[in-house]
Amino acid sequence: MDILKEFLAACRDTPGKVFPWKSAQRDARDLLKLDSKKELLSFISNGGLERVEKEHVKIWEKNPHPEKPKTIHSYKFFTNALPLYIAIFFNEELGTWNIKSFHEPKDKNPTLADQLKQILDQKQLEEKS
Amino acid sequence: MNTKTCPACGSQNVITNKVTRSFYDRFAGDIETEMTEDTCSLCGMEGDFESVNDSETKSALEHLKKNATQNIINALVANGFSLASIERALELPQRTLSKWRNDTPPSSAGATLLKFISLFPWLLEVADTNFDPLKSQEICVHNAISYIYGQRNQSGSNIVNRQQHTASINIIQNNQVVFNNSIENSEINIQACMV
Repeated sequence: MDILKEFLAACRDTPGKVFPWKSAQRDARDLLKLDSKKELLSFISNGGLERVEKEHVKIWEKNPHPEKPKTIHSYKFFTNALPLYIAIFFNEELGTWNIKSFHEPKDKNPTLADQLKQILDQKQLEEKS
Repeated sequence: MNTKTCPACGSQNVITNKVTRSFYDRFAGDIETEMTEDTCSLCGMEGDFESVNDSETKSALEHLKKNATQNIINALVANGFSLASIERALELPQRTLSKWRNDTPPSSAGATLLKFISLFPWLLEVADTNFDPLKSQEICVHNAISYIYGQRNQSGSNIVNRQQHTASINIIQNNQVVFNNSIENSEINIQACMV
């Protein structure tokens, strides 16, 4: 079964088994005003991830039990015009899902909104100087 | 004894700290609340391992919403807006705004509506047109032009005459919302403004 589908189902059906890492929760709050874990999982499970594309799959390097490797799956997606990135992994032994990252993609293409923001920021800088 | 389990690696070597987190609302200011922060000593994961922070978060956000609602409604009243008129324009049951301010805070939708009204009071004019698309666009464009061109008056052809009602909002440091409001008759030459 698709790992993303399993994750979305877990967010909907067993939110107690899904854990956003501190940085992921903070970024969700700062970027999308999703202040609580409940809001974040509700957003994810109710179709908040739009135009999802698989980014990459890699092994969790800081796993203290390398004999039981954990695979991190990352995806790019949009919410409205905002491009975002999410990285998740599942711990089979504990049955827990981890949201390791939730932030803007590092190589995001500038959207029209970004370009407009850049122009406005530049204008503000010019006005201040 | 701390018996928490790290949801990432399963270690029970977890350190729990209390940290202060600040929540901010443009219309209500800041509020600080104490949150739990767990750190796994083995894999380094940081987070809320027992999902105990959501209730604190909810409580803080409700508090901010109540303060924001009170500030916005008080500012509207102080600025000469009649709550009965606002309720009529928005087709809210009478005394809804008083209840929101004094008793039961509004839903998230109601709180957002108030924020829009406080930022763009001319939306009340839009509501008064019964959301007529053309009249609404005219009100929107008129206010945009007034804002961009500093309400300068021009004379000439293609003059739009209407009761001008502009307002802007400032937040002062003690978290009170203050309107800078002006009501005046103005004439704006659209052609001149577009040049």
